[in-house]
Parts: sequence; C-alpha cells; structure tokens
Amino acid sequence: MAGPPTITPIDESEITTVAQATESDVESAVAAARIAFDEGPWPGLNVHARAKVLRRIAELVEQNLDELAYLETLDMGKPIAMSRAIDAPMTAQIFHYYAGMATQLEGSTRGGSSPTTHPFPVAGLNYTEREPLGVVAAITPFNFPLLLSATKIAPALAAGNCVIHKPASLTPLSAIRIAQIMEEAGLPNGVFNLITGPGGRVGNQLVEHPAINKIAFTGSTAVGKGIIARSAETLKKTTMELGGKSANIIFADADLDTALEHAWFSIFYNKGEICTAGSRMLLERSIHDEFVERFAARASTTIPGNPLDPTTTFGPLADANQFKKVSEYVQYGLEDGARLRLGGKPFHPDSLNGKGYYYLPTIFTEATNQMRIARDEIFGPVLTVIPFDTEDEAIRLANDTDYGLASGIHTLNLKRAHRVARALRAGTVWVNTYNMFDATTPFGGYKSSGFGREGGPEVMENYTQYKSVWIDLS
Amino acid sequence: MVNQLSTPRADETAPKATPQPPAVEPGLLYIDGAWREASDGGTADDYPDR
Repeated sequence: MAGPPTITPIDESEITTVAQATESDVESAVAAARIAFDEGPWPGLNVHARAKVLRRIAELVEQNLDELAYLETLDMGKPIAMSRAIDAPMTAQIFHYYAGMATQLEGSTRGGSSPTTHPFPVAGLNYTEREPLGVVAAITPFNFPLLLSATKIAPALAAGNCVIHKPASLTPLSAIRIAQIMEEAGLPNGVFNLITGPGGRVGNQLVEHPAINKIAFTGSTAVGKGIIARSAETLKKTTMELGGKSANIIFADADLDTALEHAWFSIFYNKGEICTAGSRMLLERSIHDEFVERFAARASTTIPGNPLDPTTTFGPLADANQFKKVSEYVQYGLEDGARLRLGGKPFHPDSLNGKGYYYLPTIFTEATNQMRIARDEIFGPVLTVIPFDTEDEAIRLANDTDYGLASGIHTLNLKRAHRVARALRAGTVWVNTYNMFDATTPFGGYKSSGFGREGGPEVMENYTQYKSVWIDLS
Repeated sequence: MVNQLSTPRADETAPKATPQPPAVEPGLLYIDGAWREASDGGTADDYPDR
C-alpha cells in the first residue's frame, strides 16, 4: 500500500509517496533472504567474486554521486555541499573498503590441538573458520541515511550475509536508489532486499522474526533498548550505535583559532543532527568569556538557508518532530537557569515564505552539567557551555554522562592530550579536531551509546562467527 | 501525485546537483531481486526511528 507522502524539510512540500510494507511483505523479504542464504550461492561464493560485486556497487555509487547527494539533501535537509562532498563519496569508499575485506577473512590454527585431557590419546588438528551469520536486518537512521546504511550493508555482504534494509521512514529515498544500484551490480536474488514503512510495525516485525540472525541498528538509545528487549526472545546478535552527549574540551593552551572552527563543526555540522555532536563545550575558565564571545560571533554568521543552495552550510532540521524537540529543549534550558547567548528561535529564509524547519544555531552559557540541556541528547544545534578550572575537573565533567560515544580535546600539550584521551570514557576521541571519520576506522560507543563497532576490520566481528573444527590425526 | 523526484525543484541552484529521476517508482519494495508494490493492510503507526 502507498503510505503518507514523504515531506522535504526544506519547505514542507510533498516529495513523493513511498511504499508501506505490510506484514506479508516483511515475510516475503525474510523468506527471500533466508533462501538466498541457505540455498543460494552468495555465502559460499569465491571471495574474489564477492569482492567484485562490492566494487561494482562502489563504482555505481561513484557514477551517481550527484543524484544520491540530491536525494539526501531533499529528504533530510543537509546542505548539498556536504552531502556531495561527504555523504555520497564516503558511501562509495565504504563499499570499496569492504570489497577488499571480503578477501581478508581468515581463520587460524590453535596450539591446543593435541589435548592431554581427552580420554583417548589423540593427535589432533584444530582450526577455525569465519562464517557469515545469516540474514541481517539493517535498521538505519534519518541523519546520515546513505552513510549509516553503507556501514552496515557493505560489511554484512562482504562476509557473505544476506540483508534486509529498513531505512528510516523519514528518509527512504537514497535507500531506494541504493537498492537499484544493488540490482544493477548483479547481486543474486534475495541477497539484498529493501522494505520501507513505519518502524513501529516493520521494524518490530524484523526485530522479532525468528529467521533473522542479526539486527544492526543506528538510532536513539531509547529505541535501541526496545530492540534489544524485543530481539532477546530469538537470541539475535545486535549491534547498537546509539545516542551521545559528547564533551568537547577546550583548554587554555589550545590553538584557539583552530579550536573555534572545530567547535563550530562539532555542534553545527549536519544541523547538530549527528550522534557525535559536541553538544557540551567544556571551556577552561581563564579563556571562557573571550572564547564564548568569539564563538558566538562566529556562530551568528551561520544563517540557515535552503540546503540545495551550494553556498548553504546550515539547513533545516529534518522534520517537525525534530523542530519541536529542539524548541522544547531551548525552553528547558531557560527554565533550568542557563543563559541563552545566541539563537534559541526559529528562522525563516526569505525565499521560502515561512516554510521549512529552520532553527538558528543556539548557545547556552552559565549552565551546569546537571541541567537537562547538558544531560539529554537534543539532536539539534544547541550547544551548552560549561566552565572548568582543572584538567581533572574537565575529565570528571566529560565522563559525567550516561553516554560515551565521542569526545574532543583541544590542547597543544602533547602529554595532556594523551593523558586526557586515555581518561575519557568514549569510543572515539578527537584531539585538536572533531568529527573525523573514515571507512578504515572503528566507530562505536561506550555505556549508553551502544556496543559493537562500525568501520574498520573490527566490524567484521559483528558480521561473522567462528567455527572451530577438530580433526583426529592419530 | 506530487513527485519531486521527477520534477526537480525550480529554486534548485546547486550546480553539481543534476538529479536524474530514478528509473523505478519509489512506491515499490525490492524483494527477491524484483520491484513490487506493497500488499494492502498496513497502517502508518510509526514511532520515531532516527
């Protein structure tokens, strides 16, 4: 059945209508993936042949960068300059990288292959093989629809799994285009399947389905907890890339010009709709007032605009719910006693007649780490600035959060950089930079930011399982 | 039906963005190597999935 139209946050107009999968459609997708895995050629395919298909996917993505970037921007409002320079090409890089990884999955032989504890005298050989898990459901978010699909689908396929992709109902367009690319690349039938529709029905059915072996999820911590609970009955493997409330620590001994630009990128990149957002700026008290002054001046030049304009650096929030949530948290900040230093209200670009979910970059100062704007993931362009006096206090404040996804350190003191990086309870630490990512690098969270890693060779642990084979040689 | 995928926006100014309408209607699912319409009976009881 056709569902409600998808809406662009640019001007709230209808984009198109996307299929709403029903229970029967999900059953069909699961059956197709199951048969493709249990009976099809993909899991046992020569690794070079599997790599070749993944490389072909990467090449097709590269041939369609403009269209993919356009779809991404239209669907969720990120500036076209960024979706074209970051999201689309990095998606291709991810498929290229995991094409290589398909040939790198290795087992091993073990020293205990002639056990002395066995009742029979044996001369044994033991080796391990790495095998795919089976059928993987990739449930992906609205903030980086392309990228965070590729980080799941590419390694899953590289390991020989079959995939069902369920994109966020808010942003299905690039996923549909990727499915076309999968088809064109020559994946065998059933190896990749796309179902669109509401998470509350389609997502839950996937999570609970006994024929699915693994759920790879990126999204909020609340939804992640629900998925873990629902998938427990069928003992699914899960990887969870969840929320964050990351601290970006700026010491007085930092290169403050550089720190200022990276601080902007840490919180206002992707309109703050990024799980690693450096939404808590921990600022050494001796530079607090001057740096806040400079940062507010820098942020005040960031004017929300039509993200299809290549000069735009800051687009609309992804939808009405995001807009409402950001507005509510600004109110919470005021109620809790923080000082609104910048923004804190909607913005209406002249050319859009008051339409679209545009919100000004927002900065709160005179805040504490106990306020709601410092505890909760807002997932929007709202920065909370908190002063500190000592390195130990900065570390304590940074770690005083339920989350542990990422953190930033700005200092020119090498020892301090390493010392603080080691002390932070976060899956990624950036030193004198922020929001650097690469397909070769593991990414994931500590604490309530989830478990499992995406990126790098480490992710293959999440899409394979070890088989231990014993042979009696006596 | 409104379909901005096949009618690029008039105010689009991105010089590099030259969208081509997808060859397949977005109102389809991709299952078992084929594009198909969703079967009837679904509801839109969404919850926020980022």
